[in-house]
Amino acid sequence: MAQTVFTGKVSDGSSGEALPGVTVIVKGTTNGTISGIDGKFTLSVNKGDIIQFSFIGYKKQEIVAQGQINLSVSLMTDNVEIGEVVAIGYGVQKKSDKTGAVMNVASSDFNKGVLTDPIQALQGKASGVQITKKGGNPNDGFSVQIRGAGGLATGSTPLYVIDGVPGVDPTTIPPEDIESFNVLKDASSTAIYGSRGANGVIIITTKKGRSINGSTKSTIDVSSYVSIDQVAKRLDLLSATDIRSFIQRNNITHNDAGASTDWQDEIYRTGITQNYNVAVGGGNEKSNYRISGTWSDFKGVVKGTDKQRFTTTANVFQKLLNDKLTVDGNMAATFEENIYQDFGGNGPKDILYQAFQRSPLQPVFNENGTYYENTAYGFQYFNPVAIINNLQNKRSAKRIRTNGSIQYEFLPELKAKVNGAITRDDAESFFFEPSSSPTSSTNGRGSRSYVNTTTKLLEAFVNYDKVFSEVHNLSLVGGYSWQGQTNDGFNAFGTNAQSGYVQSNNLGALADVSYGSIGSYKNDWTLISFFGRAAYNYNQKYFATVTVRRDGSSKFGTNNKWGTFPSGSLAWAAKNESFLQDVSWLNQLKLRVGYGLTGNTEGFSPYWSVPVIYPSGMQPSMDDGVSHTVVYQTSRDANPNLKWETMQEVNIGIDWALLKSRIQGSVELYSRRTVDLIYNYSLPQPPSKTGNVMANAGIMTNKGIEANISYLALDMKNINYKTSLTFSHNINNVEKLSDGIYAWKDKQRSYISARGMVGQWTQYLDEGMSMGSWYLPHFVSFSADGAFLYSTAAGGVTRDITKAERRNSGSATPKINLGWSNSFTLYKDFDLSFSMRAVLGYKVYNVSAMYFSDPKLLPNFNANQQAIAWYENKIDGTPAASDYWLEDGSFIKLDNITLGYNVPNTKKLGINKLRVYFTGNNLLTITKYKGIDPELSYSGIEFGLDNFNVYPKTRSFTLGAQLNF
Amino acid sequence: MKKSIFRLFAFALILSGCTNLEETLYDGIPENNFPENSSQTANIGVGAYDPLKELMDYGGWWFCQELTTDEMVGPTRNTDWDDNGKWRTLQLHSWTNETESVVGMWERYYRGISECNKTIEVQFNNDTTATATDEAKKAIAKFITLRSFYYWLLIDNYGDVPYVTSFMNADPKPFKSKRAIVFNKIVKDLEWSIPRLSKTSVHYTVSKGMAQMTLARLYLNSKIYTGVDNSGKAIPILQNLITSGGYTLAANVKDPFLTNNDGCPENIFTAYYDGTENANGKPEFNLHMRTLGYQSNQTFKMTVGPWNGFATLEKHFLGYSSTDKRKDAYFLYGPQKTFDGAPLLDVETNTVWNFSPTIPSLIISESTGSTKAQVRHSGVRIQKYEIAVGTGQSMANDFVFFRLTDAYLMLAEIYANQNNTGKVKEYLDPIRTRAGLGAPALYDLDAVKTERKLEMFYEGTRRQDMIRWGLYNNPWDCAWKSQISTTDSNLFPIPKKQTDANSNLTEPAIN
Repeated sequence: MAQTVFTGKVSDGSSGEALPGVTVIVKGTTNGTISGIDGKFTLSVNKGDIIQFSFIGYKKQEIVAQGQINLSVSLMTDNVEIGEVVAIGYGVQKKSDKTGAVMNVASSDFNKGVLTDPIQALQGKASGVQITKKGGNPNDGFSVQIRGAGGLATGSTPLYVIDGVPGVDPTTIPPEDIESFNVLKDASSTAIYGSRGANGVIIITTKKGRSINGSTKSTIDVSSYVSIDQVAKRLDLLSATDIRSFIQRNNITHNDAGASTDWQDEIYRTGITQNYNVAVGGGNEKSNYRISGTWSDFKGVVKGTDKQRFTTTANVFQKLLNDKLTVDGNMAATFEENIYQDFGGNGPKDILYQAFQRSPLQPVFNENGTYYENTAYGFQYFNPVAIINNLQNKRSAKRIRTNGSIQYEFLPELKAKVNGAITRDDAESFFFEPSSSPTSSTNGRGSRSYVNTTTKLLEAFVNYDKVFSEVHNLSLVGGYSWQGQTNDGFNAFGTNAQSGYVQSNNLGALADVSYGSIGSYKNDWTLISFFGRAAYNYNQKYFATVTVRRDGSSKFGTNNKWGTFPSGSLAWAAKNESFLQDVSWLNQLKLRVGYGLTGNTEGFSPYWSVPVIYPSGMQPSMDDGVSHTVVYQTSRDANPNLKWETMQEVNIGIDWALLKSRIQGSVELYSRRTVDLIYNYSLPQPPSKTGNVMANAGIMTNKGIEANISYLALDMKNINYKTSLTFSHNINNVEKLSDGIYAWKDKQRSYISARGMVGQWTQYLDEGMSMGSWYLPHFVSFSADGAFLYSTAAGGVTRDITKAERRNSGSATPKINLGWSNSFTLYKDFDLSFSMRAVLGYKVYNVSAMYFSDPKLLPNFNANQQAIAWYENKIDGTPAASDYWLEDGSFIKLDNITLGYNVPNTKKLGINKLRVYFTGNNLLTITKYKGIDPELSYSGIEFGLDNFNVYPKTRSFTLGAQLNF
Repeated sequence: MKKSIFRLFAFALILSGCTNLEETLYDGIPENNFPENSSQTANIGVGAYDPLKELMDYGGWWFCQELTTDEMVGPTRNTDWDDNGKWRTLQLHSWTNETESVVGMWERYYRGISECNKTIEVQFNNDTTATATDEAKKAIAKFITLRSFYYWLLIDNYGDVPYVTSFMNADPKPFKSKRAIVFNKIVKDLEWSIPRLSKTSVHYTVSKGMAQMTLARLYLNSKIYTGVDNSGKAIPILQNLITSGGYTLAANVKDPFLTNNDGCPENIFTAYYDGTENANGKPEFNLHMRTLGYQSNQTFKMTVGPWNGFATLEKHFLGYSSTDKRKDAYFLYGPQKTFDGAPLLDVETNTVWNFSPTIPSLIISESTGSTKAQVRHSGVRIQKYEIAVGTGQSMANDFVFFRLTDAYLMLAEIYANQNNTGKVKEYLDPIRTRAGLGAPALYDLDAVKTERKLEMFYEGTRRQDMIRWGLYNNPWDCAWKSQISTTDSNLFPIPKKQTDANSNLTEPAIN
């Protein structure tokens, strides 16, 4: 047979661009080559040989060799989406193979505009994942809760896995560097992370020099934006004019200080946010890299609040030894500077409260330029502008994470991988309150402190993936993981600050130092696991996955350190059955059911299972009354039986796609039960010394339904419109809070922080109620003489609130979460997208409304319009906690709306792509809530009070540009 | 080759102890390693005294002994001090088992008792037998006494309570013992301890005098605790304390309450404070903050403005005659001045601060007709504990539990009950003379009761005294207390969270 030379060029069938890296091989032989950068290839073949062209993401093509030269081969993309492979724990999985409740969100679907934390990109995009933030403080994080509150001490924060490293802080990655979020929601999918997967797992995959299925890209990406941020809504209080006319109308004598100050204006400002990101990546299938640097500066809309962050990441990927050895390394470093203000309640330094309560008739400055104070004017009454300018409260943090892995391919189906990571977080805080500040009762105070955390990870696992007889697909993983964390910290403070110049830079200027002024701590924990997973499917029709993970945590008692967490799931791709093959309008129908057990060891410190004695104070010695001795104390009773908190979950899901997959979606139904809840329970006193112990007791359940639909409504030449909707409804119930030995003690929760309301609680955490249940006296009506009337247990009314009956008044936990995203592309160059989000069915307690409606505040202090009305109608507005002040917090928000333009004809400038865009964030909030903002953070066991602590949300206008070279 | 690699791998894993989950303690001492040295050993029981420091604040004891009586009240001023009624409820005797002060006491007492039991068992092996050394017995006696002190406060406030004397073998859910039974046990403990204790110059530790005072108070109130009046048994104890105790009456009425009162020869048992508690987040002595006016810091040159709350009742204040030195030493009344003598102007009302004795009602509010000045100024305030220049939120004065004057008055009362006028005079005169008063009309029980009321004001004895004298349930002469309270209010209920944790506490008391 004569050998001929077969040459040509391979290109992409739709774009016409050259395709490098395509495998060109004579079928059935090892005679082959790879297409070059320009798509060209050359191969010696025999006439009649069948040449196969294959490349991931494209349909294979076969051509018979007939002596062609300069053949043009066009490969068509495979109808399955690029990115069909998603990261699951310790491996990857095809999207179509999933058996659990897993949701993938790619970077193209992320929220746009100003993102103060990367998790904000996911807000509203994944059903069942509730991402909220109370207020708009750039220094506050988001609360993320998957499928309801999971525990009491252990909290609800999901486990973040970044590039295979579990337990990493997601704020260390800039949103521009994230390729996708893969959210594992149910126990059968999180079981591989067993010990920490009880609250769900969010796997973050960062952008690499290659895509997840192995192809390469070379890029320089530049992305930047500038945004102007304004206060979205202020608290509705009176102005100086309102108060003066009130005084005049009612003939009140008042010592008018003569000024007209809007205190909220004085502490708010227009914030500016800047963000710049540059990323360079390249290489090829065997060797590639990506480096990025990001700098962001968020100036909060309240003066004196700031966040600056610089992040740099690098990753390297190299195949060696005939492609059998793969080395993969990542590094990320974040440097952050924060400037803080207090605003938690009604304390001397809480500037929101100080600005709200302060009389608008008083000036900010005296005539001589000093701050106008009048500390005797009211209880804890201080000038907030002075506080912002005189007090220093800042933090400087560094986070460095490095991880590397080596994978060796023994056989094409058998790979072993070793993965190691080290993370180091250092934060240094600086606080100074000068002696001149009237807020200090100790003549000033200065402090410095350090908080350091080191986390180490070592994992080794083996993957076995093989297809038998073309229909039996088996995927096995088995491995070991060791993770340890050490925390240590140091702090020093002094009072009586005698130099306003050195502040806390030199603590030697603080004259009063006593026992307790210096302190330090150190603790550590370890987590060890053995895990294994087997995933099998028969011809992509019947799927089964079994996972077992055995975890040990050092935090538990000697007998209970280990727990076993199994799970299993089954799925049936009904569409692939013969009886549904011909239903043309149905493109996918898959039914899934899964059951799993996951454990939780997060959210509480170590050493609760052993008796420990700590230094607790100093006293003159009992012997001579003079020399100093350190006093020691056991701070809590030890519990050697402390063990794993466990969550059992059943999940049923349906994945479907219709009309050429233009409409697709999933529905999930789940029921989860967390037992052995870990928390601080009370022990009988006597004989317990401290009365409390960390123990397991209590049961909590969450049941719900989630759904998401996406619809490619228009897919025409000039216009493209895709819309998606996420929906979730969760019912949380605290089933039990005791187990016969340990009993829950702190049922009264959410205490109000306001003058005259010390000890006033509003929520009850008890069996049979959901978290965040309001438990308040019920307001009936006003009496004829203007008193509040409450209902009594006997069925009557009383004006004495201490005799009123408290009852379940609703919950701060929302019933429904909705997200609606829309994106349009118009005329190829314009794109428009907007996302809306709704949280419905919950109540917020408006402490600000309650406190500022009191007519007795006038005319000395600021109040709201209702106070004036109540004064004139003689209603007794003395603040009292009742359901009169519970408001519906349901809201619908337009989170962002973006208009982008892909500037055409940039290729001749060497720019591959240039997109400019304009985004508006938080432009619209539809709610009945009358306070600053109804959105809450769902973390911990107390939430729902708007207690002078809602940092105003921001409305931002952003101009940005993205370039790709 | 693959197999051997795996075998090596697994072997290495096991070898390197990669399944080690032992906890390493860094910043705390494991209980087994404690005490590490003789200094720690010597001070091991120090933690037993800590709960005493909390009794003046969230520990609730002082509030329960004073605000429930006719000598101190915490009125609600507009919205200030409303705090969901937790102060008013004490005055009206309408508390529940969830009232903060009621809940706070129990925990402190039992924490102290646990520490005492632990010290006795762990440090001293609970050995009170003849073979133990005298030194050891002396040391144990201190903690048995301190434990008896806590139990005395328990039976005084709650009645039937569990009596627990072991830390290691404590019943996890004990039943209550009868009040009279506990009384007998602690009397016995104190009688054993007293000969083994001695005087100390460190007043905030247990001493012989402190044990004697505790025993004397137990006998004085024995009718209430046991139903049988054994107050006569206190006489020899108190006489021994007065004659050979080593204490002397202070020369001036204010001496026991000065800022540096740890050296006062009259003080027998105190709770130690040093004024740094606020800065260090420790339990504070802050009663002065609760009573002084918002601007009283200008009167005393304090570093922080007080909270304008508690006051004494008008009727009580009027009981001090104009020559009584205690009137000016204890109270702050009338128009107020700054430290330099200028009138102290209330910036909110534009009038001079005037602590006038009349308190118009328990809720003083502009909604019910009071003026703003009445809301803020009503009620005479207390400065019994000296407020030195530069005082902050926590006082450095030690709180006085027992002092010699109390012993004098107790003896006077017991003798008055026996109609021994001569003896009453012997013990009553020194007190009255020091206060600048002459002889009373009669040296009878009423004279003693009056003197005790005026002298022991603010020291946490009034509730006990009123119950003993049958006055506690009467109405008293003020705008809000016109009804009687039943004898049920003579005891506080066991806190709900304790009965929730241990249902045996709701069962009747066993032996």
